[in-house]
Amino acid sequence: MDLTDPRWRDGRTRLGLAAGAALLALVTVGPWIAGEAAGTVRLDHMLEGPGPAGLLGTDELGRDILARVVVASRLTLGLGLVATLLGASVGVLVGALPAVTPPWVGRLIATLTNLALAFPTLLLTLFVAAILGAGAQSALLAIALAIAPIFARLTHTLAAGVGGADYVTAARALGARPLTILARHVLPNIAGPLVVTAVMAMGGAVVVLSGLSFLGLGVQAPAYDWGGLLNHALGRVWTDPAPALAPAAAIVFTGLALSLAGEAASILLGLSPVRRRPPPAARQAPASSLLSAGGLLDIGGLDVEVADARGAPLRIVKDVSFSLRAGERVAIVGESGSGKSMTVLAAAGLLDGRATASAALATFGAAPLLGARATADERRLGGEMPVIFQDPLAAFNPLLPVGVPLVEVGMRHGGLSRPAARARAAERLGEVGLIDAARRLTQPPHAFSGGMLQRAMIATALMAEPRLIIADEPTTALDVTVQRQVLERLGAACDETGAGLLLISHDLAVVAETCERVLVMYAGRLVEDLPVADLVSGPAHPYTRALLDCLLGPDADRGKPLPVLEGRPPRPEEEIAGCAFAPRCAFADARCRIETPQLAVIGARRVACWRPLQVRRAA
Amino acid sequence: MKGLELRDVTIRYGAHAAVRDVSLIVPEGRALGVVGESGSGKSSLGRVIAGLQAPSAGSARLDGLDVARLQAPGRASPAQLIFQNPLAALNPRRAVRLAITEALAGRGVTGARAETAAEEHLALVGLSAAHGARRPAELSGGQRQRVAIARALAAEPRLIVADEITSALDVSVQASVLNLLVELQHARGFTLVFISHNLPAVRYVADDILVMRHGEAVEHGPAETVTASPRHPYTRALLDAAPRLAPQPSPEIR
Amino acid sequence: MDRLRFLLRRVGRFAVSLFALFALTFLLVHFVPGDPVRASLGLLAPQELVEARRQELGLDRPLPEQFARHVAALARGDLGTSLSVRRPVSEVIAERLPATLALAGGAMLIVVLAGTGLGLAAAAVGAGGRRPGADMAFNATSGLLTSTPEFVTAVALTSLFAVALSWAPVAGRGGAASYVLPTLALALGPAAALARVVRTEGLRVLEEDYMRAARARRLSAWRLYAVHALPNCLTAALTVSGLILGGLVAGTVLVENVFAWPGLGSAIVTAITQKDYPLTQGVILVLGALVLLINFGVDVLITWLDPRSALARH
Repeated sequence: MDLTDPRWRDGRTRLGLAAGAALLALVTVGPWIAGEAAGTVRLDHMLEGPGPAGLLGTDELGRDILARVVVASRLTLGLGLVATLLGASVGVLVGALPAVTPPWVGRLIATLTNLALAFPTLLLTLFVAAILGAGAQSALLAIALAIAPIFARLTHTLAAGVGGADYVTAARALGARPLTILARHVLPNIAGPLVVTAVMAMGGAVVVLSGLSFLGLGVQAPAYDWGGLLNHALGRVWTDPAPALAPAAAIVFTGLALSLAGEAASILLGLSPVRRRPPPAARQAPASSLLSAGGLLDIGGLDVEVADARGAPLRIVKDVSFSLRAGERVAIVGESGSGKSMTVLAAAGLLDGRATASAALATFGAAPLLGARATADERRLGGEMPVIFQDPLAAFNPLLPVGVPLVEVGMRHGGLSRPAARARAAERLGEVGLIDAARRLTQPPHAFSGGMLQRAMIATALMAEPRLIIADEPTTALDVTVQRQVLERLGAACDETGAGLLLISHDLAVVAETCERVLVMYAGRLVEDLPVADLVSGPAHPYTRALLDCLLGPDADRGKPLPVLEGRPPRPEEEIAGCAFAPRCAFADARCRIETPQLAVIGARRVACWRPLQVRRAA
Repeated sequence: MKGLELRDVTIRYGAHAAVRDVSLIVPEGRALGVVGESGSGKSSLGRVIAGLQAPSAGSARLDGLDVARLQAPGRASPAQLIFQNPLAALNPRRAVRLAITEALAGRGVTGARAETAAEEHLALVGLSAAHGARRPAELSGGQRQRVAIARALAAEPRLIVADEITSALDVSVQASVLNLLVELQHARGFTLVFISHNLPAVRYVADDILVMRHGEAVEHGPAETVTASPRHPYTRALLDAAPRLAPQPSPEIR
Repeated sequence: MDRLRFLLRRVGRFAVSLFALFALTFLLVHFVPGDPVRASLGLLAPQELVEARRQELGLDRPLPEQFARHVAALARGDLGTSLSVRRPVSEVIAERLPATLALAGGAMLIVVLAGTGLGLAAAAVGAGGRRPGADMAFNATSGLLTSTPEFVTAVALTSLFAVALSWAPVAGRGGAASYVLPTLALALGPAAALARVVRTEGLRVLEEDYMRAARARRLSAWRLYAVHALPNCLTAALTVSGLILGGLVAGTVLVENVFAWPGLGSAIVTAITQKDYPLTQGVILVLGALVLLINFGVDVLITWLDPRSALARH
């Protein structure tokens, strides 16, 4: 048990465990302390209000009400626990049955559980109570019966999910026997959710049991539980609310404590994510090397931070500076985790709440990019700096027709009326190659293929007057034959409007065909900024070189092993001394492992390397 | 006959035919590359070849035996599949070494011998015993895929189906996984079916290439022939679609 | 076309569920261990009376015939005669149903409006964990309310507003003021539960790519939240609200008993304790049908709002 694990450090875990512990203490120690006071009849203290005879008053036999509430915890929680265990066991068994029975049995079970789940627990318990009559036992059975379908369905769903997992398929192919698979692969992976649900279901069981007793259908005198005590106190609530409030508070506390404990269990079992808060807003931006201004897009000393698992700020983009001229086509290249998407999203002002950006310089034309919200300058970005996303199906609202974004941009940024925007939208959709565009505008996104949606996204970018189109891996989710069409469309869009392009990609070959300049990122830093022509003739940074070497071309020599870049990129949380690439670099020396290289200008390029490769001039 | 033989394999999901009438032969020890785009049916075909599902019609035979019957409790199948996403293919709650011992148990190797053999298999794919003690989440993507390869090998299969095994990996890691697969195939001599949407990768790994589109085999032949002089227009389109970049050889250090 | 077929399937499911509910309530009296009539009339009742009641209930006939007669009776709107008050069950229900419907209807309105509104607002305010204070306040309040069963809320509201402050009547159904406390008691918990679901769903929606894309278009806040986010939150919220509103219907039983509300809930408790099986059967049938009707309505609404997700879920 590692108490420094972020799961133990999450506030909700501690709260849930504390609440659970308090409940446990109440049940175990409480009755032992309060037992005597709860049973002592004092005819000289009958029906008193809060006072010396009882902190919350006394009942009609002069017994201390607070003590009775404490003692009742054992019966209430005990019945709740037994009902939950009973219901959960039956439910899990029934839910697991379809795994071993013919399919029709499974379908029948599924239908019956779904039918039972349509009815609220209380109604089911009333039904059973009507059959078995009032009493603690019938209430217990009723609650167990009402809980069982919840577990039956959960078990069924979970087991079906895990049963279809690749690792179960693999185990079967390796000859593992069904029972082994169940014990080794299925049960361990469904136990967590079942435990969490059981904890929370017990809270529900206590509430329903209290409700039944409150109605006089549950625990019968002389035994008493919280619901019974509450019912009893209701008669005098007009004169004396305190005796009613104590059992009421106990019921609420139990429900709350068990739901908090369930949440804690869920976090500890790794089923719910640990909560991460974003790092505090912008620190003083670092003084950056090579700030330049006067381009269309100027970014200087950009830092992006997210919170790590322990809530400490984690710099995932470090001191990135670059500048785009009007109409220039630039690519940002890097592997996953290099910070390329974060850099561009920060530049576009589209980071979500979990990341914080700061920069010494961040402007688009005259408009400041960071911090300025809802100003006229900032709003213009919606038309002048359109963004194209990686997964086109995810980037269109599933409930709105595909035409909505186009019309929106036309109206808000193109200065058009709704009919005019519609007309232009149809025109633009036609231009990117969609047939029957006017009708297509009204169709939902799922009626389109990925390639068509990506073209519709490009059409959206053309609805106002774009000056810079940002495209985040626009072809990664598409098939190769469609990729080319979309890239060509994108290039044509820039040609027609004179807009620049900022393309994020992990594919150097795509970049070389589309852009004029390449920014290479590694571990959050910009390591090289070079013209595409130089990429082919030979980059200066060993990482860029390695990326090129790893590129699997259509004529790789089958007789030889492919060139390999050993090792892996550092994780963001790893402490890096010196150049982040040094551990994987064939040319690194002592200095590379100590000092972080800054970008330095070499000819037409910028390189952050202590030992840059020889730069050849493009022939 | 030795090797893999598909005869008129058709796979239907309801009314939709994912694969239609695919027939081919992969002689023992050869590598077949299956290339196609999403929806081409290549993954469904892979599952049938690995014996994970039965074809709706036709037959898939390995060394003359129906692959769908090779799956049996208590015995590791001689046809193993390596999945696209190694994180989903390894039980999240178990040390990855146990995945390999499970495979060894499938051919009767247990106890101390299994422990030694598991370490040998980890070493074979370039991982240490310390890696084996970790859970999948504690390994990098490339390392996980290496574990999956080691697991498949531990079953000593005669056929391995590799379904898009590099597409979930970073560019700089893909090459080492491909090298490992090719090296192991040469050393062990298993028949390989390599499924990918990446034509250059397929060409590098495979001896023969099957091009699939909309569930149909549109071209099948030796890798060099298919890529150098494709006969089907779709193969040509695939070849042309891939962007190219021809860098010059690595320069010397300054 | 798909949508129509899907709707028809839902109608079919609704009908099957109703039939199952009817069959179960019919069987209720047969599940009772021992002799239900004897249990109902007590040990001291003369044997002739027991026999007479048995005949009146039709319990002396074979089960299939009983069921057929039961179905035929239901078709005439006849639910039998109450054993305790000696009046037709349908009459008792007709008398009491409006009170329950008024109570539940008002509460549902509050749950849906307040639940979605507050949930969305909480999501918009707390998006990205920017305002931990507001998040915590919302979580604590809604968590507390969700964990508080309706009868406890009812008792608490009564002690505070009716007894201590005398702002509202303590019990009974009368003028508009008498509705306030029971409706609130019934609505607070479910509204908080719905708000929590809507908030979680809202936070998820706000992180979707299409919301990022909408932000990239620099839309007005109104379009961003009302046009792009709201419909997507609603479909998920609706799915849960079927469950929540169904629970609310059952909750009327408890609340009515606290406020001596003359609805079905107070009737069923008396009926169960007095072993008045025909009345119990009738009330459970009506309350259950109400729950099924709500679920059916929610299904139809989802299909109308979001055919894609409804079809995908099927």
